[in-house]
Amino acid sequence: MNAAVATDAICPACLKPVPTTFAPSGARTCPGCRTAYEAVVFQLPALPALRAAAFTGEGSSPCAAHPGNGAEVACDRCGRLMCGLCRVNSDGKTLCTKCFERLAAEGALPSTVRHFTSHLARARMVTLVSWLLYPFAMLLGPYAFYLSIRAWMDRRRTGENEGKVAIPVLTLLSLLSSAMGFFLVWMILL
Amino acid sequence: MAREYLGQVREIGGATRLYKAAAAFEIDEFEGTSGLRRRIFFEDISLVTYHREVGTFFVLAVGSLCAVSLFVILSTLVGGLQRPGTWSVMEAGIMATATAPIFILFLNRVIRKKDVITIFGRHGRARVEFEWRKAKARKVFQEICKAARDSRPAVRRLRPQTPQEPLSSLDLGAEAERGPDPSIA
Repeated sequence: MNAAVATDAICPACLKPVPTTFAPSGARTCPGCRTAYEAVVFQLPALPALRAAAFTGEGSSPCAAHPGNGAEVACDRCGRLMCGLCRVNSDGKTLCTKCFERLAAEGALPSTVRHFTSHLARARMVTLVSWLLYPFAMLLGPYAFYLSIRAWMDRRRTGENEGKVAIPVLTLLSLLSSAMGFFLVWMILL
Repeated sequence: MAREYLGQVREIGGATRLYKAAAAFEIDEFEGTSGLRRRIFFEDISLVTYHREVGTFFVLAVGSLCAVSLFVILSTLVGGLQRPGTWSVMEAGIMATATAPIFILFLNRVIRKKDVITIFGRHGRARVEFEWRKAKARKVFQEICKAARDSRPAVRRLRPQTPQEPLSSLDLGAEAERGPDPSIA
């Protein structure tokens, strides 16, 4: 086996390892797909080892989960005393493992959110469908309006720029679609 | 702190958008209206690359469409020229106007190519593409490198054993003539 193959030397085009005896940053050419690319390599820092001071019994309290370790800090949520092995720093809070798992399961920690729904994408889709299937506009129009309001609330909460123009346009279109739907029903009832 | 949108990759059935957050790059992978969010922390970045590619599938698909459109337009035009007084020339003009965006898209991809930035992290990778805005691509590349570099407690960058090749050897176009970025070197 060629021990000189650097694990951080991968061609971005074909994703195959680029054999190099060292890992310089700069211009490279993949020998496989002949793609020329510019690479900037960063050395990965060593993962910090978890440390915990032993509980000496003098002027300190023991950790609630590890009685042999001295407590360093209290959990921001439940107040439990924690050593260096138990503490979890997340989203500006210091939590014990149980509270972290609880809050992550509830979705209360933004950094742990993995699955999400894009109300803006849904509003786009439902608005388009409400115009294409105009006989159902009375039902789809209000739903599209609700989704565009949710998208606006999401944007306000996250502070992102996405949807700056799209949300007002979708809101207007959904209102027009609703109006069209009600008008159609009124015409039928007449 | 609000996330900063950097770019995206459009795929069939969805898209992948890249954002810069406080401590990581967040990759939102959309499938329809729901999505999955991944993160690559700044200190977990091991490699950032920048290259240009044409995209074989795009060229074949859009190129075929352009070829068929061109054939239809030319045959309509030739037929119209052979039979004066018909609307065929105007029809050919309307078809050419309607299909012009596809031709522009195809030519832009073949001539200028698309810029691709790839971030390789400890546990995954992220990719962002720029079709039109080359200057924005270079700016985002520098921003990503800066975020990765600033996250290290000591600024260390592997030095090449051979003199660094100039960017011009990559044939990346006008940007190469400006020379390497001094902030990275």
